[in-house]
Amino acid sequence: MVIEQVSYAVVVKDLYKIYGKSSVALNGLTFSVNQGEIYALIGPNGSGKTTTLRIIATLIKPTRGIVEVYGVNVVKDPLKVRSFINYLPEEAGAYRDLSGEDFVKFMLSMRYKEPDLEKAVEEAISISGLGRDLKRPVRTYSKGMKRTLALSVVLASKPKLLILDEPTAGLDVEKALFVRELIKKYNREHGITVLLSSHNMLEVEYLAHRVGIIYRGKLIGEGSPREIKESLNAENLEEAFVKLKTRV
Amino acid sequence: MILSQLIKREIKAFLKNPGFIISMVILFAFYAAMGSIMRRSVEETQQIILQSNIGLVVEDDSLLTRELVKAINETLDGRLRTYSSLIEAVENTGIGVLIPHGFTANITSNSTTVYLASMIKIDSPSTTIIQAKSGILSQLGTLIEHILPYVVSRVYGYEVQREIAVYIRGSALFYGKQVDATLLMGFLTLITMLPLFVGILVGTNAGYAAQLVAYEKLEKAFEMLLAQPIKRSSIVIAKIIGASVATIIYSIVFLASMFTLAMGSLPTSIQSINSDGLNSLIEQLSNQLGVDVAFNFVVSIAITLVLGLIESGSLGIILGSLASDERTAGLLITPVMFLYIGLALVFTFIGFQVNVVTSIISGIIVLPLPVVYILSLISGETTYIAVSLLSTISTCIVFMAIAVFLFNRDIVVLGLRVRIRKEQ
Ligand SMILES: Nc1ncnc2c1ncn2[C@@H]1O[C@H](COP(=O)(O)OP(=O)(O)OP(=O)(O)O)[C@@H](O)[C@H]1O
Ligand SMILES: [Mg+2]
Repeated sequence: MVIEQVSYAVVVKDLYKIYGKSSVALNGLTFSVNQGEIYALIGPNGSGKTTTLRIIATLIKPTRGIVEVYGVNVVKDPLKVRSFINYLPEEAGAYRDLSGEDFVKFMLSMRYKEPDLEKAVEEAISISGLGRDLKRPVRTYSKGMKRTLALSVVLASKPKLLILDEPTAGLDVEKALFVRELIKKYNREHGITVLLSSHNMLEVEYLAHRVGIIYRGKLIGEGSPREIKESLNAENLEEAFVKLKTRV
Repeated sequence: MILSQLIKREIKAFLKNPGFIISMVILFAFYAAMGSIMRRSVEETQQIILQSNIGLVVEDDSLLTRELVKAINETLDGRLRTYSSLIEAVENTGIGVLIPHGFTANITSNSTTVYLASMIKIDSPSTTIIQAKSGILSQLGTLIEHILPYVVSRVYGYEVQREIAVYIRGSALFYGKQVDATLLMGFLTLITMLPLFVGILVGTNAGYAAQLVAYEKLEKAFEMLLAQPIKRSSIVIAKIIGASVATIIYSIVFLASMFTLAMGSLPTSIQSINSDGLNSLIEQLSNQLGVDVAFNFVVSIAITLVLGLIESGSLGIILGSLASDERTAGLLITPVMFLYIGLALVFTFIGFQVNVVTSIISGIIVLPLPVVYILSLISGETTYIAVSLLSTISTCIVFMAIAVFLFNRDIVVLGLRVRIRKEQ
């Protein structure tokens, strides 16, 4: 039992999250993420994706249920969980007064000491593709620039598990393609497990090994994009998604 | 039309903000309560002092002084009591007046001024009491000036042709130490200003600390930071230190500008004399009180500032982490700043005895700490310093623990939601 659990990067069992007294965001959610895979959570607005990712990232606590990251309980030992993960929030920004480069240095210094820090910073700088803009203060960045900056930080930190809340939201087509490539590359080359949420079905089909469909705080479907399409007799994920929703 | 829509939206934003409502309620309740406490205590002190007896010592026993005392006593409805020494008089009545040797001779020898000695007992840092008691003494002086010609004519049978001014040389018995009354008044004014000064800085610091949390949330880097493998307590401590450094820089500039202002307003010729004069006054005061005033001022302010910055920093972080956005944070912090400054004002006006209870309270609210420190030194009851420091340190630890606790909760990410229940 214990050995089996450790082979999972994330185990979520019967998870409930109730905001305040009565706002039910998660309603008995159960799913798990295998080590080394890219797992995508999809679902309509307000279905509980961000809530789930925040709980796994130790930002908020579940009302009930079990969440383990590499066998470590997120409630009992959050500090240890944080050493395995990195998290790109839904609205990732950066300190406005810092330059992009200083922000990268600051965030990575929470994890690395010299000389590894320098290497990680260089890596983040190179994948950000921001070039000379990195010397400018973050307050002068566009939304997409801020997002790529934050993304390059979490990628370059090479955690065992990377949690990305809508990583390409707000990015232009080219940037989004570039970011998808990056995620795929880091997953393949560095064995980083990725758990992401997305509204972009193209992206999910392209990236995810497995998809979990969440609706009103519950998982209503799971499998590889192909499995899901076949089982619902749908042309693409979008169609499958709509079909699934009407069934519930 | 457009402008009115814009204005409507701005005002609505304020009115719908729970922080705004809460801050107003707190502010009003607090100042109303404080105002009535202050007014009552000042009135009470003045009443008590106005009705209290006056101790009299007659060194110069003569027909004139006997008649004079009788006349004064009649005017004061029999509130004069005689004692054999000024200390005894002051210990018993709080206000003592002495008619010195040579008083009668002075009157009969055509001199235009006569002197009395006096002593008042002060055992509280309030300037109200010293002012009330000094007031009674000067009333007494005026009374004697008026009565004297009648008494002289009754005793000696001639009219006094000149005006005789009565001077009362004032001294004070301050926690058992004899001090010049004017010096003491200056000292007390200064000492009661300290909580206000500390209050401004500590209040500012709470605001800075709350801002640090609120702005980090606004910049959207907060959630990423919270997911890093660092202890939440490190984040809290960093913020306390960050805010404190800002406040210290601010206070240095504040002090420097106040000093420049004060110096600039004095003519150059006086400046050097003035600082020498000040030094000698401080030296006199130190000798009379038996305490190195300047040194202990600096020490007590330094200790208070360090602890005050930790406490108010933690408080600011608590408020900042409760707030869901920087607007709410700003509104929550306003009453806290006013609270600190208000508490400081209270201590400026009402006197308090240094005892275990006031030491503990002073420790919790930090601001009167320098007053407790210096008064305990003067009265020799140094255990109160330990009590108040212990109380401050405990408060700091509690506040920091709450801040760290909140940083480990959902609330730091989600913010506090005040839901006003609607009756159905
Ligand atoms: N702080 C909060 N207080 C109360 N309810 C909340 C809070 N945050 C989220 N919710 C509710 O919880 C539910 C799930 O929200 P969540 O943000 O997890 O959805 P999501 O799937 O990420 O949506 P989106 O696709 O729009 O990002 C929603 O119904 C939302 O209204
Ligand atoms: Mg979301």
